[in-house]
Amino acid sequence: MKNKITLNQKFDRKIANCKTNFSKLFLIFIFISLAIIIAGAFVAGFVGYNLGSDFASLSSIKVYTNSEGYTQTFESYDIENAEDYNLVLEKVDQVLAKHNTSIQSAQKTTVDFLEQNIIDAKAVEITFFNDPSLTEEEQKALNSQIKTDIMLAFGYQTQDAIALENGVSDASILTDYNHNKTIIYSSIIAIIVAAVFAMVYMVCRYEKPAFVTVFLTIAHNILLTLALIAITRIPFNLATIGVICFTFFMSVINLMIFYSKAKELTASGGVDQANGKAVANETTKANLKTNLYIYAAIFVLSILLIAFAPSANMRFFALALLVSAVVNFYSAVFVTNGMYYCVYKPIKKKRKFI
Amino acid sequence: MVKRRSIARFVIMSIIALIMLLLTVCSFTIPFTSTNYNGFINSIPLGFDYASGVSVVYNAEKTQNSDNTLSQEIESTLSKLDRFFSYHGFSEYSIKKQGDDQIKVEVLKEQYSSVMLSLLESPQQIFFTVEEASDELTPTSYLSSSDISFAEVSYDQNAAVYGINLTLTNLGKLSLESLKSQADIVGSDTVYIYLDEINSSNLYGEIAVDKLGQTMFISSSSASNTSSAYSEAYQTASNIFVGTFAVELSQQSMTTITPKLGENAWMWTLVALLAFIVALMAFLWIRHGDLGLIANLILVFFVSLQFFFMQAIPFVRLDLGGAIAIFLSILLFVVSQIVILERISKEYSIGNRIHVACKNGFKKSFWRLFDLHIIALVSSVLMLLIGKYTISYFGGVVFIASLVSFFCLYVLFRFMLNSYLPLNSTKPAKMKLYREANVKEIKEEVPSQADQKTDSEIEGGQA
Repeated sequence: MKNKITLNQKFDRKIANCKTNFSKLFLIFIFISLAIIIAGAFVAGFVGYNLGSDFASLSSIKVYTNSEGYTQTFESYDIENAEDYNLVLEKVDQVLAKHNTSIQSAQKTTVDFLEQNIIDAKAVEITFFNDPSLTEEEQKALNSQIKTDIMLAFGYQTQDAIALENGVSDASILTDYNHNKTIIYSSIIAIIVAAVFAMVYMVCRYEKPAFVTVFLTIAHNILLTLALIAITRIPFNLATIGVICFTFFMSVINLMIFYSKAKELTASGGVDQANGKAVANETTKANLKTNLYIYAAIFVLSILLIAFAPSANMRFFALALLVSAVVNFYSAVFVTNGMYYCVYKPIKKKRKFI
Repeated sequence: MVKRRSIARFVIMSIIALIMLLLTVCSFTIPFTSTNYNGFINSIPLGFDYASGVSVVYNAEKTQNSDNTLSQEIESTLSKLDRFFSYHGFSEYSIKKQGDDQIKVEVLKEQYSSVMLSLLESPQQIFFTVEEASDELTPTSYLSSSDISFAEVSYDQNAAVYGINLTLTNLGKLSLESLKSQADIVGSDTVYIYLDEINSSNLYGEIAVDKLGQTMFISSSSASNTSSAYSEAYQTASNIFVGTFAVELSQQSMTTITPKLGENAWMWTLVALLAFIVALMAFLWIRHGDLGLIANLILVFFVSLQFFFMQAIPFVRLDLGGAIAIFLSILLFVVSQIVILERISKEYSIGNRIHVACKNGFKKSFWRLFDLHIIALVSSVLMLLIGKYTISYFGGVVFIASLVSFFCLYVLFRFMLNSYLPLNSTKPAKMKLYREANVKEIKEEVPSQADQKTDSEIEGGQA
């Protein structure tokens, strides 16, 4: 009886009969990686990362709106209403654009206590990017001009307007206490220590050259992710550090799967264990399905977030996640096998038992 | 009989999975009580990215004994404020200098305490003298607030009283030496401690000269071991520490702020998570048939347990980093499931019968998955211990995931698969298992020589 061939079988056969020699392509791909890493290093070195709210130099300004509408002098904005809220942001953004800057973040605030004894007033607190070429004094002068322009844009003529729950606060430069830097340093140390542990573990469980492969693969993946983040100008925030940790873990998962599969193939005699390239190639093919499925799920997730997430910060985070997933998939399929066979040494075994 | 037991197991496990899912997602009032049940997802503490906060702006004024500019003094105060909030148990906060003369502090709304923040506005200066103050005598202070780097509430086991532990700065050590030598000159073996001002009514306590050191315990003359004594010492310690600030703070405004990622960010993250899980479930089902459905059931257990522990264990707080860790956790679990399922497929394709293939699938994947989970576990512990905030939360989530994942794989998944086999051990198509027509079924449950070799090598590692 002839068996019916399912889609799964077709797919499995297609992969099994795949003629692509992944190991042969290694040099091309490592060259591409190096080119991207160098380009990223140039961008990061000369232009810098597109620093997000957690690391950039920012100023803050508060726009008070008369949500009750009982003051006839000014137009009323109810910031709980999305349309009004967007209108407020639009007006501020237009003013900031005139001064070559932009809104970094906006938060609705309820003023519970203020010097002027205002209770329950509504305001939008907006942080915007400082001009890095300006001195502190010049930035202060610019902020003062921005404040005046925003007041004009809303029709608020005097400082006293604040007392009527309408007006604009002074724009102040924000100087962050450097605990964000502490987070970066502690993250770097944590990732390095974790990577060293992974290397030692792999050496104990598999073979000595695994040390080199693990080190190179993790370094490659993290550097490539950082380079792409620099080139694509995705804002560098604390969430980006989370994405780097994600890259690290995914690299380790890929390496573990790769090494255990390689070991299984060589031990079962499924591949000529004297030929490192063949081992690497067959292992990549054997893991291709798993990699395809897993990364397809991450791509779907990232694209969903990019398309539908309500805030720009979330969309940027999804973009960084997508970059990390692309790098890990690329590394798992095209790079790790090359790193593996470059340092591959066939294990000398007592053949008499076979 | 065996089949009936298997069906019963499936029904029971499905009901448990459903209940866990409901407990994870739903919020409701517990019947016949006024207690509200929030669901695991809603009980996980959220960080600034997802939760509302309170922003307080303080005006800063130089204290009289300062020579630096106000701006410099504010910057030096930021690190002390950092220590203040960290000591008082605020898990997330942000401290910024705003403009030239203000400090802006943001704390999570759920952790906001007006009493705690009001402590910042009530500094107390501390003075150490070698003579007791009286109406006629105002002795010189040789050690004061500027010499102290930290003050915290403490308990003296010997005297059984609550008091304050003071830590001196490096310059404070020099002041301490001059205090000691002055005590020698005067011939006093006691040092007097005053708060606010040196006069007889402000005497806080005394300390023997031989107990003076870079860290020292001081207590008031009325100190005891009661809870009110603790509260008093706690407040005084905070006031003394605030008294060491180079600026005096007064609250200028207080506002409630929305989450950094927007008001519905957490809901959107959950929607994305749901879409992600559904995509993975669909893949598992399409690719592995009935085995995929069992894997889906266990995925529900995994997600529920993961969320349960995330809300139960105190070191987890969810910000965007934590959210990435949840995605990673689910990936770790599903990758492990795929490894087992692919191994089962492989075992079947080489001629093993279904139950042998399932047994070998678990057995031969064990060390592979053990390695994966051990590395994830240790790496996450390192991140938890070394990292701060985002990274620490990331490590916390992955730590929980690596333990829960291994449990779900090798206890629940295995149990459910064993329960399934009596229901179907003859229809491989239902499990999307297949082998080439020329592969003959192995009748005896004896692993081949090559398989034995693979097993021993994988299990034993290189050693």
